[in-house]
Amino acid sequence: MRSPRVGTWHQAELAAPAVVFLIIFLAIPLLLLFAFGLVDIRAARVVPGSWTLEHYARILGDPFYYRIFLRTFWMGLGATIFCLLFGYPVAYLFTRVGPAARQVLLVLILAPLLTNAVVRTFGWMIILGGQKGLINALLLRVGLIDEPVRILYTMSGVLIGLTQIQLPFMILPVIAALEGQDRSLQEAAAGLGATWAQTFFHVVVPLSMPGVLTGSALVFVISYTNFAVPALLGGGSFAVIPTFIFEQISALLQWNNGAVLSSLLLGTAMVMLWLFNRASARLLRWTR
Amino acid sequence: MRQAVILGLCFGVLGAMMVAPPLSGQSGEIVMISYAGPSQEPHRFYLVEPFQQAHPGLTVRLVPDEAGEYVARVQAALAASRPSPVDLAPNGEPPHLRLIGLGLLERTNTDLVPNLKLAYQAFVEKSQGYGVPATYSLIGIAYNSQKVTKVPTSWKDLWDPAYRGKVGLTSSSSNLGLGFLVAAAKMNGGDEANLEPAWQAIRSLQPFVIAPNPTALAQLFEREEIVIAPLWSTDAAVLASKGLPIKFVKPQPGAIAIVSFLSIIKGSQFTQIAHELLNRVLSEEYQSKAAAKPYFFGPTNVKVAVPPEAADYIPTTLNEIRRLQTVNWPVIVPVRAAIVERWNREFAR
Repeated sequence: MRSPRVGTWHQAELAAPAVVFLIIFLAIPLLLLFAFGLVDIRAARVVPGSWTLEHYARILGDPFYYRIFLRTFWMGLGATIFCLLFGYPVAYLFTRVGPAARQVLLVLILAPLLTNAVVRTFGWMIILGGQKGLINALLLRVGLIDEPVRILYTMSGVLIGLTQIQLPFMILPVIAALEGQDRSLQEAAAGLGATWAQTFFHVVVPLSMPGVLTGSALVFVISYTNFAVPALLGGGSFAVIPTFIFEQISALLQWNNGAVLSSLLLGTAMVMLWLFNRASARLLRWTR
Repeated sequence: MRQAVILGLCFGVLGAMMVAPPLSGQSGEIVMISYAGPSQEPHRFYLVEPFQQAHPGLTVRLVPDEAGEYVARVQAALAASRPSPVDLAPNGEPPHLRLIGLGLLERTNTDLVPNLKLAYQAFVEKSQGYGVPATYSLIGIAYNSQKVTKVPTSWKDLWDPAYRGKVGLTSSSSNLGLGFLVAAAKMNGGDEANLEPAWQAIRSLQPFVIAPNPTALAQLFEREEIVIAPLWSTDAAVLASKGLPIKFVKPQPGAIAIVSFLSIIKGSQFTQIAHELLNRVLSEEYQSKAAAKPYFFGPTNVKVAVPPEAADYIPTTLNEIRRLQTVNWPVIVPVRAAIVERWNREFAR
């Protein structure tokens, strides 16, 4: 029998390429990014010996940036809530149907991941855009509205795009959680006289919380830091941190601002993930 | 031992990836920034294709970029002593001046560009010895003739209450937005050094739709999201050529003319041969094709006449040329970042 130590070393050996890759292409660039906010950068060159807290102080002392961070937060939270509302029923349905229907559902769930997010977002521009957009044409036709409503270049448009693109990241973990449930618990609830709704809300939903929380954390972080969707569906004045970073660096060559905002975006995303974990641990205490 | 081999292999592969020479520069590929959409076609058909036929080993890759996003990449490459990822780029006068200031443009060797003698000398002077004046375009008002019944004649017509919520703009990070800002200032008693009247005027124009760039603004006409907007003459011409009911006017007190300079970027590995592209862009052949339907780029070659059907988009008479507004860009360009920041603070939602 092999000793566990040998097993561990073999595992470490297998992980070595990934670890080296991550150190060189993730950890070091992230540290550099953080450091670029602490020095003066002129013409993309670091001015030697120019350590300063001024760039962080300027941005952290400006209420304008707080407003943009808050908008970015709402964008992430909104997408997460909508993904949960639309994703949970699909996941539930998936666990209730036969193998053939499952195949179809799985393809439908995964289909959005098969095309590039930018291409899909362009599709949304056509669907959401203006009087000729599919949604406005439909709403006008059935008489729900008299005047076309503006969806493109608004928060609603961005949330629609984000929700569609992130849905699989919510549905798949929830399916995993629902599949792992012991069906006899639901039968027991029914046998003890619980209605379908009681069983669903008191047995099925609580047991699926680990999947819901994983899915929510994933969707939130991907939406909070998303660039393509707000850039294309939000329009020219839709200010969220990712589009703002892009403008600071590419249009204005303000490398310092870009570095500080990127670090803050990353930092706040990590803090929120940590809070999420804390909340999950608390919410799921009963499962232990 | 095995671990060492695996680790060594990992570092070897990573090391090879990092020292491998960048593909451009070695493969005979010249990278040229161009416009987006159909406006790119003159570059592709009448500049790049004949050039490639004349130089079988060389290819020219056109990269659409309207907001000067390539500048950050060039700056980063030069700071790291790498060759520029971009060899040539057209720039309107504001970014042209900005890039000269940043030291990112290559001076033109006039001996290699004999056609420069055929260019309007006033335009050549504006280039300050960098690049060549390739074309010019106007910033005027484009409108949907089915929705806008009263033909606009002045910049003030954008403020007509009938179009509230249907006016499109772009942020002042684009030349279009910057040009409109100056027009709005001048119309309200300000000038390049005093933009305050423009900010007030644009604030009173709310609610308007802000597109991320001029091409996106033009697309908003297609979807009828907007009915009127300050727009490039060339983009309006392309919309009209698609059969859309889009018309272009040169509003009072004058449309704004912006010269576009085609320049070689500092750090390019093709500076010598790229001069041939500068020469070709000034040629009668290119200029007359770019000035023709449906592009209507203003010609900078004195020998090229403006075609009659271009009259809506390019000035055809001396009187019309006199009515064009020019902007004192050297005053605006140094404060551009502050203008964009002000724009964001005023109008970011």
